[in-house]
Amino acid sequence: MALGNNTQRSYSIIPCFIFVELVIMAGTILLAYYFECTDTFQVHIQGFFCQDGELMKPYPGTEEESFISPLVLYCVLASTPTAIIFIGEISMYFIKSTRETLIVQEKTILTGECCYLNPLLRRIIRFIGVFAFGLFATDIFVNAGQVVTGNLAPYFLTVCKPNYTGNDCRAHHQFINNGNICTGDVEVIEKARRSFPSKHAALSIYSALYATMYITSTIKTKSSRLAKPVLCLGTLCAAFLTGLNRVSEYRNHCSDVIAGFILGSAVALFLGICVVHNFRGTRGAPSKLKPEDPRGVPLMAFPRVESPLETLSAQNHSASMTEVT
Amino acid sequence: MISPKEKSKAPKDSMTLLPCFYFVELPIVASSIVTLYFLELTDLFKPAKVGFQCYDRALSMPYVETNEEMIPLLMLLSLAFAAPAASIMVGEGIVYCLQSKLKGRGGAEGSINAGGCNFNSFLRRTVRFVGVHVFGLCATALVTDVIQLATGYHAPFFLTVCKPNYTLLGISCDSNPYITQDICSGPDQHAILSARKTFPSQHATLSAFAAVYVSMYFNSIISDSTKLLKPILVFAFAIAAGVCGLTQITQYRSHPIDVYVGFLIGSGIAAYLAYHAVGNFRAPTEKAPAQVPAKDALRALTQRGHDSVYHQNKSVSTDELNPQTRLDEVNRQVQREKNSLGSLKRASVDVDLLAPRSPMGKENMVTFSNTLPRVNTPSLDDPARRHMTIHVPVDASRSKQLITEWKQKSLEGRSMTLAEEAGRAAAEATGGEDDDHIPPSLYPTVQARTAERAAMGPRVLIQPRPGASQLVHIPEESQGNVNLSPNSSSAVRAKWMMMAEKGASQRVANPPRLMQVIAMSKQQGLVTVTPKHSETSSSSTSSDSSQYRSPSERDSSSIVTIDAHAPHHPVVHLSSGNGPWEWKAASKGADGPDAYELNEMGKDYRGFRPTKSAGVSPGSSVSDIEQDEPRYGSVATINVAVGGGEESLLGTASRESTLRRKPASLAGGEKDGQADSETDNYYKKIQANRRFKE
Repeated sequence: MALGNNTQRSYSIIPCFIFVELVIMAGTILLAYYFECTDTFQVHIQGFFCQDGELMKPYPGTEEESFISPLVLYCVLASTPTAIIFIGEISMYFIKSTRETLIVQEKTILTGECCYLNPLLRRIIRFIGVFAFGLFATDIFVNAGQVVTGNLAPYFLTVCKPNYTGNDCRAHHQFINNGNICTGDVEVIEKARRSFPSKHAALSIYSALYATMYITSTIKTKSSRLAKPVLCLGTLCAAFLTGLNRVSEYRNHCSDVIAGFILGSAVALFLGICVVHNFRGTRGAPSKLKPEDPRGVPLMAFPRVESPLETLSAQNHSASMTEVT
Repeated sequence: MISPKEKSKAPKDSMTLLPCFYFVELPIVASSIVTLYFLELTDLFKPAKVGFQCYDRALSMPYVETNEEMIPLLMLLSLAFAAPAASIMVGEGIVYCLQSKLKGRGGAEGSINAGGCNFNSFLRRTVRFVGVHVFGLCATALVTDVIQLATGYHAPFFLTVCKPNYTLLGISCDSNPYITQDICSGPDQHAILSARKTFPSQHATLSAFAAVYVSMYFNSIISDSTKLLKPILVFAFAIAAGVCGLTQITQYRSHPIDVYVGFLIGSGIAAYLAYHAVGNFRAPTEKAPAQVPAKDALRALTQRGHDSVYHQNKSVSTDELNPQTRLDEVNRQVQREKNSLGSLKRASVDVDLLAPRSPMGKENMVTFSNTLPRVNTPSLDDPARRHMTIHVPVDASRSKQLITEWKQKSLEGRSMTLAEEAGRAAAEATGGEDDDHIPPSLYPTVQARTAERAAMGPRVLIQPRPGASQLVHIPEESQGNVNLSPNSSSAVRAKWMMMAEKGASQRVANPPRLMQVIAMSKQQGLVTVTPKHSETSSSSTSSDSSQYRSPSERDSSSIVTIDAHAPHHPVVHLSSGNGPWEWKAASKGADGPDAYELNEMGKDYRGFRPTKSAGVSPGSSVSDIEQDEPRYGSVATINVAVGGGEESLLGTASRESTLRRKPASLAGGEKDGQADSETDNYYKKIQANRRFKE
């Protein structure tokens, strides 16, 4: 075979990529777009108590006025793992020792006649693609939770401005089931109904955890003991602080942030462990060879117990026949 | 006897599949469903009484009616059951279709034969996974119900449906805000009851279980080649479960903590079941390979067993050449000895010395039968009955020599046309011979088997029970009536000839001859006899009746029977000692040139019944020899029995013979002489057969 040891001819990888991965990716992005930018999914109208102290926190202003503005946050959490993965893969590819192990793990895919997909390209596309998918998936999770629950932000009553002197809000334990008594800005009220779980917390922890897992599993340098922990803990602390910032700015409840953390962590762990298999190569081949071994043993040992029973009658017949004849 | 055994043993590899399913899995699932019914739909168990605070805001949420619920419980149950089940079925169908490509992954699970049905991997995996899913749903609902009843926490709408009458209490809410009495005044008792069962949320546990279970299923079976198919499915189910649980919060049916705990419980149960009940949805690596190749190897070994048995019976040398097979054969024979002794005897040319329970006309019987149905030999099927298997080696040349000598002796003073007999016997011999067989080739086989069994241990069983006559039995393979192949008749015939030779050699012996035969059989040393038998024979000797006597002492006669149930095969009952001689032949099978002779023989066999009352026989000396050499006693016994009877028959000319003879047969003539001449004819014929065969 003309192909080398590390080269593998595959005609299914490009169609598989186009018709499966890209379709799924496009669907995910589209769903996230609908959640984020359109009113396709109406938020659930959650009731409240008029004198609920939890919802009477001061309004911290719009999201852009936050210490961590959404634009900055999104850019950072999308670009940081991407950059880390990119740099890491390229450096692994150009450092000789790691390159050899990399090539052992991964094969160069030859599709058609001309297209060589070397391990570098495949790994970068895979890891970053999965990361992007997870990002959008986390966003969908968060938006779905927010839309479904319609949990109220801590500053809801501040922006709702209900008529406290009216009949509805007079009693202490009177539950307001509809939001019609709000007199404030509808746009802001709509935003205040989306609190659970915290989107910032979920996205940031997802991004940080993904990057951390990548760093942990790929960088195996022994010269520097502290670089890896510093990088990992740094990203995690940044994500953690992002979540805490949401609470301190009265933009989310503490439970929202915790739920966001859990959600983002779950997505990141699932993708990192089950999908990209701790950022290793696709060749988990030794595990596949194992089940073959026990198969041979009972082949020899097992039927000896039973075969006499099965063969007894026929054997007797044939035996008697043979003896007589 | 054989066929039901075969039927039950053949699908052995899957013997436990259906019973295990019927008697273990189904009762477990059914009992869990029944328990769930009692917990869920009846008021048999009341939730624990838990107090509440006056005007608790957390319990004052509006009550959403059951029919207005976004996801009612019934819909949740059907969704939680149907969606994963459908997903698993679709996934298994795809896996089964792509089994060739996915070999070594999830699809490497073979089909199983059980109860006559073929369960392929698709069916088995689908039933297994969906069954575990159903069971898991039931278990999750059970756990949830039990916890709900045990805790008895109040739902957020509790005060709404309870409408507590605070004035009912003597003390006001201001002094003691915690109320433990039942002061509910709400009309809807069912709502109140349901409001006291909220922790953990049923929706959350069920949906989390279903989502986690099916997610683990997809995580296990979807290959790595598509990176995003797995997460999109998993996330879809996770979102569905999350929404299902969160609606409970938004509709004030559960506290958030109930839902979260419910998620945890459902996920835990699902993870446990998926990892430990279905092995993470992979083909069971220990179990399935044991099942799958076992079948093929079983077939292969079966074939090999057939071949080996065939060769072994065919020629002795196969054993030495093929030790592995022989080892198998040894194992098989051990088992065979335990299980089917009757079929075993049928399989080999054995002489079974067995004792029927009934006195059988107070005779010791030596039966050579080509077809011996069960009815005739009840002792074969009777496990309580002991058998004695004796392999009688007959040296052809020696027996021939004996026959010749005897013939020369008997020719004198006998008015017999020997030429006729010889010719007839020759015809019969050729008829028997050109079908197939060379009896000498048969003897080494018998001997080999004898030797092998002797090496194996106590093969010969002797009936210790008194009161039973002994029977030398040579069964044929057509005993079971199952394989009466056209070939078998010829085989039977050849075999019968062998038996006839044996009988001839035995009958020929007068006292010195008898000794000689015994000595020869000892020299050959191929016969295994337990000492017990020699004891019995010695005891019979001391009783001074027939030489060969049943241990029962009940009767003093013995019969040598050559029984032929099939056409062409005569039935010969030869009784020695005090018993009557009985010669039978089925003469209906005679045809062609043999017709005359066979008819005559048949008449002879049928009609000739000399009874001997003379207990004194020269065989007693032989019994002494048996005492000396217990090892070879059984053969000696046979010889003695037959020979003794023969000798007495011939020598004393059966003084008290009762001749039951048809009038059409030899008219007139002296009875004793006729009897002698007829036996003489028979032996000559047999001798001729032997000569022709050799």
